[in-house]
Amino acid sequence: MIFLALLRKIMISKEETKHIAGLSRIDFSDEELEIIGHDLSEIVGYVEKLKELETADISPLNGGTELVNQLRDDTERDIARALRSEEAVSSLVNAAPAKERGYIKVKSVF
Amino acid sequence: MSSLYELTIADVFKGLREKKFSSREVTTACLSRIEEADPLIHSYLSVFRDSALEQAARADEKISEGGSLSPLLGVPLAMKDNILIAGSVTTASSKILEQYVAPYDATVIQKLKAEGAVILGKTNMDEFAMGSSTENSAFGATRNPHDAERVPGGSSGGSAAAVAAHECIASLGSDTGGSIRQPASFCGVVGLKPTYGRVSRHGLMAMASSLDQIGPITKTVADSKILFEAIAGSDPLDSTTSNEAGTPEKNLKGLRIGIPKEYFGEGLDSRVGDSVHRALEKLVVSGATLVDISLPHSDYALATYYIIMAAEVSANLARFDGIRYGYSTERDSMQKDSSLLSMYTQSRAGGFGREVKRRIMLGTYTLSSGYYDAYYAKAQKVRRLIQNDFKDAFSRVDVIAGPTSPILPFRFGERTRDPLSMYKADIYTVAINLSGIPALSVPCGTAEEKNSKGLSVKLPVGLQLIGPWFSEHTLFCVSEAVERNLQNHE
Repeated sequence: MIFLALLRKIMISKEETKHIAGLSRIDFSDEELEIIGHDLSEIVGYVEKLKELETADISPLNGGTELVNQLRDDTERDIARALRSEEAVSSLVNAAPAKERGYIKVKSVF
Repeated sequence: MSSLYELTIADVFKGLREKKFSSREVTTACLSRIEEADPLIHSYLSVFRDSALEQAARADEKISEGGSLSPLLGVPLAMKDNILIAGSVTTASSKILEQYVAPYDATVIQKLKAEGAVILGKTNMDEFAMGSSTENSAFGATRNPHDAERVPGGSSGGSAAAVAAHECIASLGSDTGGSIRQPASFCGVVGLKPTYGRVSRHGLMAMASSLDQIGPITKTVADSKILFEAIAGSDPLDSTTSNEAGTPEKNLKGLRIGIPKEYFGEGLDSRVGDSVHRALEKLVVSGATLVDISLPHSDYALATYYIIMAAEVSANLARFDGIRYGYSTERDSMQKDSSLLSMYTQSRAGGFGREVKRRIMLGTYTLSSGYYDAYYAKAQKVRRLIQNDFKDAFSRVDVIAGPTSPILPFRFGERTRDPLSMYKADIYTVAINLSGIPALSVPCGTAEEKNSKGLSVKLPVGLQLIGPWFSEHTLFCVSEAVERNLQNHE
């Protein structure tokens, strides 16, 4: 396939895949690491093609909109008011897997 | 007369106003149609029978009161399952949100409710809108109503199939790299990706925030316009929305349509290309001029998209931590005593599907120390070059036209093993999201294929019309001509 012929060879090592998995906060089995490392190598190999382009003088486009400084009055919005109701709060807390006395319970960090 | 579920939004509006039928009757017809068709098609993840009938009854009351009626009053619609509806389960087709109940309405839902629309249910999709076939749903794939052996496209495959199979009058989808237009093309319906910022994203589950946009999937262009106008507008809850009124409609007489050579090159199925060319030639008869143009960075759009989209995905999906909602090892008494870190990593391992993990990993890699400049910063610069291509083109032409997808609807499993071959299905659509401009897919013909029994099936082909920022009304005008020509041909 033409698409694959364009691929540059990139090898992301198992160690590196493991490191990225750690940063991504996703647990993978050894076998899964192998597969995802292979997939990543292929995809990164494909996106390498951007290096063909000279972009030194180009300003980055970092969003979908050209709007700047969308300001609003510093007042409570309707939705915030609605989400402060007892019913809304309890439905939000109840969505959490662990809770105690109306609070979401989190494991200790250390 | 055709069955009530086969009607368009415009038909339903007219029929309700003339009291030929009630909203309750149209809604009941759609619900029965879902019962009949959905066991095969699987467009829906949930159906709100009771609340839909209640909403229909309220609409009928309003109609009997008289006065001016909203064009969506009493019209049964379906919503992609990444759009929040207060009090109902919203999964984005992910196991990690299997039981998640939305606490508030998305702005588009608020607007549709205010118009008196009836909401039939939530439609299937690729998990978190990541995919081009709906095969990545944690709850089973949707089938293409034109040939059940083939995919409906994605990620808004359920929304497109529901419209094509007449399981609703119209629907909403979301489009990050083609997720409204490509399934609309595959299912033979009309799909619009509005200008970035025209429709509020408040209450849409974020995939890639600088690219995501909600839009209508409908049976006709006229319906697309009605639904678009109902959901568009600025919203204080989404600061990227604009209150721009939109540019005035240009009609076909004297209209310059740019034909980018890069959209008719290698990889395009010749049957798709022929169908699109025939539709464009007919527009010339109506007074349009076809102008050969070039979008020189087209070949880099897919790579740019995969870097930017995945980077935003990796950040947006960090919120699924197993603490506040959704699937969590905390719910499993066997794993309850694990550490905080292993709760994160195992909840995410068990809750996310393969493609979602792949994209989170890709985004984390390209944003990670040592690679940021080479990939993410580079892609943002190329994104500028891609947008400049369109700016240059729109100084010479009014709209740009080409195929929506390079290929016809494919068979299940055909592209799932090789992620890159699946990504390639989006080759003509991703540049539009990167540039923030609007585009619409309209059916322009069919191509014959054989099914596994050797019988021939007619598969739809979609033509994509791309316009400058805020030019949706010109897109409606041109695509209406494509639609009319196709009907006359049939």
